[in-house]
Amino acid sequence: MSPEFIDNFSRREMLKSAFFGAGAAAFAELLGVGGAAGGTGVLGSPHFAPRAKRVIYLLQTGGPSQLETFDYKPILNKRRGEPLPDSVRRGQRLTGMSGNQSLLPVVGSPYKFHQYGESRAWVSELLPRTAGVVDELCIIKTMYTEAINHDPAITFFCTGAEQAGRPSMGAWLAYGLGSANANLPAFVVLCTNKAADQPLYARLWGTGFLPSEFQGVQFLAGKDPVLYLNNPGGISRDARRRQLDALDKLQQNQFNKTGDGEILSRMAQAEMAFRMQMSVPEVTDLSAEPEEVFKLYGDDSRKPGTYAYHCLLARRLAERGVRFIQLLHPGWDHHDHLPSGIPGLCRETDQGSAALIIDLKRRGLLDDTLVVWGGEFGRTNYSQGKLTDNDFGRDHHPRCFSIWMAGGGAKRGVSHGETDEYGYNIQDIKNEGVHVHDLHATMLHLLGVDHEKLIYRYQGRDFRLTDVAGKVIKNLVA
Amino acid sequence: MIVNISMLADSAGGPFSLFTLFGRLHPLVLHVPIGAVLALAVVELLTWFAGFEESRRPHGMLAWLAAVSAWISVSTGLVMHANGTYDPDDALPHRNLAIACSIMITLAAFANCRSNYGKRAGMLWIYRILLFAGIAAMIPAGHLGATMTHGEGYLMGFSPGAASKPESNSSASVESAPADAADGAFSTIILPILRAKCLTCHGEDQRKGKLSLESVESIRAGGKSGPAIDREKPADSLILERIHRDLEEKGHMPPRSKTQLLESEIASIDAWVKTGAAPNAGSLQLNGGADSKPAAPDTTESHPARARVDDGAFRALRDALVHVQPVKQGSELLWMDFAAPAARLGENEILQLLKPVAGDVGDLALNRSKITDEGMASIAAFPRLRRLELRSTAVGDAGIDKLKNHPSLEELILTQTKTTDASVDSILTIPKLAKVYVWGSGLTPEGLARLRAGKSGLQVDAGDAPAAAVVKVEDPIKLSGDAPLPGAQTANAAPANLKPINSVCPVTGKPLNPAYQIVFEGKVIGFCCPNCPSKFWENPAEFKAKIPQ
Repeated sequence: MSPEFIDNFSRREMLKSAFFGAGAAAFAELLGVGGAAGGTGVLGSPHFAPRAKRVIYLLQTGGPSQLETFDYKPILNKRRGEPLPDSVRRGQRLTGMSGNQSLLPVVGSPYKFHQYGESRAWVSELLPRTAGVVDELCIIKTMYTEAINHDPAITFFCTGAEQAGRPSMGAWLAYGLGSANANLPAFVVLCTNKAADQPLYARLWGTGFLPSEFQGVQFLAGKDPVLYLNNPGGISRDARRRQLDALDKLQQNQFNKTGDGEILSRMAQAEMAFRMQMSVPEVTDLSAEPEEVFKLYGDDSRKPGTYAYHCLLARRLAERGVRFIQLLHPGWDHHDHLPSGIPGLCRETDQGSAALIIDLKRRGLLDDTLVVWGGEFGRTNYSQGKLTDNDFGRDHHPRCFSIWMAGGGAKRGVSHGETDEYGYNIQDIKNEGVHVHDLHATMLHLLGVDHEKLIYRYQGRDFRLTDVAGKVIKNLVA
Repeated sequence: MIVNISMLADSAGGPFSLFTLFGRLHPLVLHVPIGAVLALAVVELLTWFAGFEESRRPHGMLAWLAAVSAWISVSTGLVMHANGTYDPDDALPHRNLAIACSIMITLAAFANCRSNYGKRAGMLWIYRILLFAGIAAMIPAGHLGATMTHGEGYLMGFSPGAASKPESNSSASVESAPADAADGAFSTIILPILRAKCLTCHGEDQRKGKLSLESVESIRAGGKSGPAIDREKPADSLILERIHRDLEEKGHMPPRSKTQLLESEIASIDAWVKTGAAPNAGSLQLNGGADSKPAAPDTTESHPARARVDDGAFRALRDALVHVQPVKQGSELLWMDFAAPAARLGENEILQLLKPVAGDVGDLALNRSKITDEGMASIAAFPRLRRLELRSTAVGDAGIDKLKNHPSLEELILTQTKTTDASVDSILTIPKLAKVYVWGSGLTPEGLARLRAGKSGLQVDAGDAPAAAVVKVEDPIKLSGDAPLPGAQTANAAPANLKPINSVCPVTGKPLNPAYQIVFEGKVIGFCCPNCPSKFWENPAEFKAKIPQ
């Protein structure tokens, strides 16, 4: 054994080789530890009866303004242009881009707010369709985070840590609970195909130190949602099968020699790819969807790569048992020209999000599918840069922002928590504040998982999605 | 004497000493007295019944051969016993009978001498009695010896009456698993270890201590010392206690002279037993094995359903890519999803797969599958079914009819099925039903109305919920304070007829924007942008000079 070999011989490999020896792959298959490709994951079953069996996370990256969407603050319009009172700011540090401004003129939403439905939730006129399903939503107005910049903040939401390198939430779930459909990945990622300032890195759906078969599989917008899905000319499916079987034998030999667990991951991934050759064309073929469905999701839903198309695709994936479906829609970063920017973003996402709720509900899927909508932080109640007659911008604001959850055991038709009159701080952060860790703990709770008991030991310490924090917010649970 | 020999055995050192070799001659040597005694018996019977009157001289020689070899066998046997671990229930009677047999054969040899080659009838009869008494002791002794060597039922296992017993011996079963062996963690991980290290003695053939480790059932059943696995407290199981016992201590398994278990193998058995020793249990093993801290500490509970239901059924489900997962830890109820094989499996295949687990199905998703009204008869008989999803299937009224009065069903998804108004009454008979989804089915508005009116507490979703309506429009914005506030929106700006007295912004010197005006000291002052009024208000004195008076 070379020294490198010993170094690389991680605990996982140690166990795998000690336990499984040559039969490793067969074992994983049988017990379903290979959660990404069907099976029950490492937990075997949820800790307690789950309310949700799967998650669709509609991540709005860039930081959507809560003040133009769900957090109605009329005083900001009454006092438009006045400096942010010190009694509100309370000497707290500002984010970098507006920190040096001599003036922090408060500015309200240029868009009208209405109260909707039985829940009487306030929603801006920019989100008319979302407003239509507001009685299904659990709007959390008191989210908060520590991160003030996009990458750490998104990484925080996706992986439970601001530093890159931890497993993403979807990977944790695939690892812990497995997948209900062995022919599809447990974790699918759909990024809206549009140019944006803030790039979306694959590590947001990465696997960190978990076995790499648990990472998210991105479906692309082009003709082939997954690249190289078709066999090259002259290669039949049978030939491919035989090829894989032969390759597996070689891989197994190498594994027996080196004990490197990533070889097993590689085998699992090759097997998944083989299965996806059949399953992905079926799930991504929307031609059988009736006209009525496209109408529901809007015209965009006919165009691959749009948010609405991905919402429709997310429903099809949820119907087929995919455990974690993550949409990423970038472009919400309105430092300036917010009035000319945010209506477009809302238009791109409003109908798709609402249609997804309606469609899941009528199919009986919303009962056990948890839908989450939200960005990585909120935006300031004062204008970044110049406040003019019809233009202003808003800087990043981590102290309070709004997201919503729907279905999967989340409370229906409630708004959780209140921000202060100016929409700058959370009124009662102790009782009503929802930290990123708390959101994760609550989501895992709805999935039947005790967030303190889904653990992976790596480099000598135990890791969790919620690290050493997080509490289940019982008020969000129906 | 026994004490002496065992002391000798201890002092003799390693297992490869001459002493051990002597002991191991036992199975060879013991056949000499058996052959000699049997030959004596045959000849004796022939003389007696067939009047065979030859010389009795060879009798004497044979009898002494039998006596001497019998004692050699006994001594080798004692040495062997001291060196190995044998079931005392077999070994002690074997020893006593063999000694008794040797004594009788020796006395018979004496008697034969004393009979003066058969000329003294009295002594000849004593010889005969002793000879046959010796044989009477020899047969059970031999049987016990053979049981220790070859295992119970070695002989009778091949008799016509025992044909159902699988034909295998210990060496063959080491090489190949019986086709129908328990699958799961047991057969993939545990059984190979047991085969290599334990089954030679504790297999179906040998059953030393009446214990067979060849199947989960027989391990649970245990042997003479009781069940090998404690189902209440798996950590206290006998099998673990024995493999963890000190090597030097009596009862340590495998016996000191045999190949020992590796640490990793002990860890595997540990993890398997502690997870409940179900054939399929063991998801814990990946994380909880050699590491002292299990990754998922709460998974120590077994899955009772898995323990009760035949493993073959789970294997078949897994092979068919059906998702099976206990609804929660420690529960027998299963969530089953046919999402992966929905398009592939025929109705009969689905029912065949479900049959063995019928009693444990809680949530069943058959969406997009080929289930039909016919198959619904079987599904309706699942006694603990809680949620049934039939979205996009051919199930219709005949199928729903079979669900009538289902005792446990709470949620029913009939979206995009062939269900019509004829099913309404059937649905309403299900006592615990709380939710039913009928969007895209054949229900008419009348049927739907009847369904909604039929049962209080029943949620009916037909996808016809209206969008949430506007209940309140935002109040028009009123500026706070008496005077129009700086930066007020166009709509709330100072009245247009109040012309500002200034022509350029007092703050920046730029042209005015009529949207931003304030009233200061009874005068209307205009600004260029919404930021300037705030600056003005911060320090009016500074800008006052720039306003034309």
